[in-house]
Amino acid sequence: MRKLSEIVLCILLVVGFYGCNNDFLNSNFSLIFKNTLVSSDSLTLYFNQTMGSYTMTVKNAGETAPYRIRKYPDNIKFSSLKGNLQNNVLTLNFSCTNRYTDPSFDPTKLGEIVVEVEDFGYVIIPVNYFFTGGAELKINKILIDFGTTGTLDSVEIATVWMTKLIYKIIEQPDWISINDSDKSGGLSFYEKKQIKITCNRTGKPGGLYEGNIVVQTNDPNQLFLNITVKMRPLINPDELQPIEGTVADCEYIKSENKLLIATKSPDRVLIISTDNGAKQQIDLNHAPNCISLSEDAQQLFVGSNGYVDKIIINSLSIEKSYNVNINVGDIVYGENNYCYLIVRNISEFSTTSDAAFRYFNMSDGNVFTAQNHDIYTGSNIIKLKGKPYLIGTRPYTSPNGVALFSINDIPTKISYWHDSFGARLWPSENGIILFGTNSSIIQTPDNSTGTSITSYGKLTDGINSYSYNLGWIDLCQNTKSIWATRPDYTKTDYSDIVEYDDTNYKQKRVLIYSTDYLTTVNGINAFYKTVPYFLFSNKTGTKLFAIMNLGKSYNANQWSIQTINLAK
Amino acid sequence: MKAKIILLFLLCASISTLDAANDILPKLQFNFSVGASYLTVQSAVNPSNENFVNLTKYIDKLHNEFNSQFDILYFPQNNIGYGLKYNLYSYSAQGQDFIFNSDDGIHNIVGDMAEKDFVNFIGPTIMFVTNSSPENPLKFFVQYSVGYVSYRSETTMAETNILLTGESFGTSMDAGLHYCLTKNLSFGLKASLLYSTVSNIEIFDGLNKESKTLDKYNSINNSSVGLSASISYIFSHKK
Repeated sequence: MRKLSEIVLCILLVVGFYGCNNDFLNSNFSLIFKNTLVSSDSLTLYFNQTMGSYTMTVKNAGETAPYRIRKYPDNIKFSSLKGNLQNNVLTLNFSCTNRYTDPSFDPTKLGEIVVEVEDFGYVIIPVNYFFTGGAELKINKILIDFGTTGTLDSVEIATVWMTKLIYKIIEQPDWISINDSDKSGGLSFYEKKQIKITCNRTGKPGGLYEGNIVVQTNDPNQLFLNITVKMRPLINPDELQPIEGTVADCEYIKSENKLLIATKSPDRVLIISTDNGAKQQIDLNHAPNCISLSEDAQQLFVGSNGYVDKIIINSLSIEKSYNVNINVGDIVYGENNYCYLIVRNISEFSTTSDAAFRYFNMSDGNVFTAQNHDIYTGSNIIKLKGKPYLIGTRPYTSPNGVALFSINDIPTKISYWHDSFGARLWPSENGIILFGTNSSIIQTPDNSTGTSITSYGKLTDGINSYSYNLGWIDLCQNTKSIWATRPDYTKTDYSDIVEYDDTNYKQKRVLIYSTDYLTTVNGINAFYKTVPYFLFSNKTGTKLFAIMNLGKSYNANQWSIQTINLAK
Repeated sequence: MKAKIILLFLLCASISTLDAANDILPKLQFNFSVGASYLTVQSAVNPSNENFVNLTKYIDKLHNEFNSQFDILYFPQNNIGYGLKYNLYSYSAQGQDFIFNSDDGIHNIVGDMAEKDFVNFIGPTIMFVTNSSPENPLKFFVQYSVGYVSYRSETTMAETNILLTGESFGTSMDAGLHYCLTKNLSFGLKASLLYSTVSNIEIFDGLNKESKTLDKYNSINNSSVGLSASISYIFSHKK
């Protein structure tokens, strides 16, 4: 019995000892150093991603070392928590579920995957999560026009969903400034925020400035919201230069890129080099009505009320002034020592053919009246380049008609076609085709033309079948373009500038250009709408020059020249 | 588990067939028993969740425990004894690749888990012995005890060792049959029932101690049923 008691006592002591011994806790404090390799290549999970794979090389580990995943974000499920490296490459295949974190436009750190590789240590793979969430953004306006004086405005954004709205301004014009604190943020349910927008015009050249503030949001219907901002410094843009006086007529010498502008008050001819902007001027003794160049562009003929001045362009001087005793409305030089004149029309309701067509000998200045000409006062005449022919049209009659004259000296009418191709005609570069202001394209008539002139159709916009009335036409052989001003009768004081293709006569584009001109009318300094009356392209076709005046509704003359850079 | 119970039963049955001594009315009796128990608490872990497959197996292992018991009784009357009882229940399990939720609410931690648990019970006891006449060596007894319960769990989770300790009160009930082999010695078989839950625990990692009070859904339930082989030694007899 005593032995039994001793055995039982021993058992109790052993059990009691092990039952109260805390030595096993000591291993918590025994440090075991293991390699730690943090991957430089993060794993990024995306919202709604369902599966993925991650691969990295673990150098200095066994080629096929066993590994075991020890820690990972709980929205990931690995196909296996254990495996072996393959040629030192760790490959983890996984499926994953969504995790609803605070929305952000940038991946946020979610956690890490810790992989224990046998005989190597731990590999730590940072895990990022990309979740933008979803919200509905409300904005009180998407257009801010600062005009010419406004400097500060604001937009109010709000969210109406339970989920958080986040936004970030990612783009803005350089003349717009927004506080950094307003550039990004988050809005909770029904929260509102004012974003202050400041306009800075200082140092900005003139012109209309329009741009977008691009706001990135987590509204699925407005991921990138554009807030349009506009402003205009209270100065004219550099490409818009005023012209003193009233423009009477213009010519352009393409071979030299020189623009000639005849103005009244002051009475002069401005010669502007469109290559470098250099200006020259020839003062006139009479207010000009019209100008015309000789074919070699060395001589300029200026028609005015009672006079014709012959100018040598290179010497910038009036070589001779002729008293013609008529109010000259149009003039051409016949390259035969004769000038051909059309009497200016007083009113479009009083046009007459009586003595409307004159010509004079430049040697003696004698003026003659052409006979049997079908030309009315106010008509337009052109000379066909290199040929002794004139073509005249009548703006104030219907039909306009086309009259063809030979000009060996006395203008002799070859034929007249009672048809309408427009108030004015422009010859093509080779002279074979004429373009009329009613968009007509016709074969240039000659003495073999029969009872009707061959038509090649119309300059067309490719959409409408009707004929546009054009104001001015200019041809550019280099770009095979036909430029035209095309008044838009649906808008007050506006005219399109259109480019047609010189090969198929279809519209290529409608140019966007500035129509606003800062000037003073009746004592009010403001931007006024202007309309192009003359239009020229330079030789290479990289620039357009529009001679513009205020719209008719202002009943005022404020001329300007606008340079439009087509190379932009 | 079933095989162990059957073996114990056969052992006890063979002991009970031994020739019994007569005229053995105890006055002071010492009892010792060893046996197997089964934790009655049910796991709340969902076994269909594949994250918990390993945990389910682990908990199944924990249900099976070893128990030993010592008690000493004084019999002022023939069929009622009073005394002191001590019980030790121990159970253990270990497993690999457990997935734990980390405190950051983001990560899962993968690690191994092992634990050794001890439940000590000590308290006054009362035993009712029927059929205790000297002529009959086969005795049936019922024993009821209340007392102090000490709980100790040595747990390793994801390479971190922690010690969980707790205290509470518990009750124990035993019933069994004994056969007197000699005047001083008897063998038998008994079934045991322990009811004990621990809700105040202390967590110790070797450096820091933290006390926690568990709610009724998370308290540690050490209740078990068991079957033991027991041996009794009678120090003195009544005349």
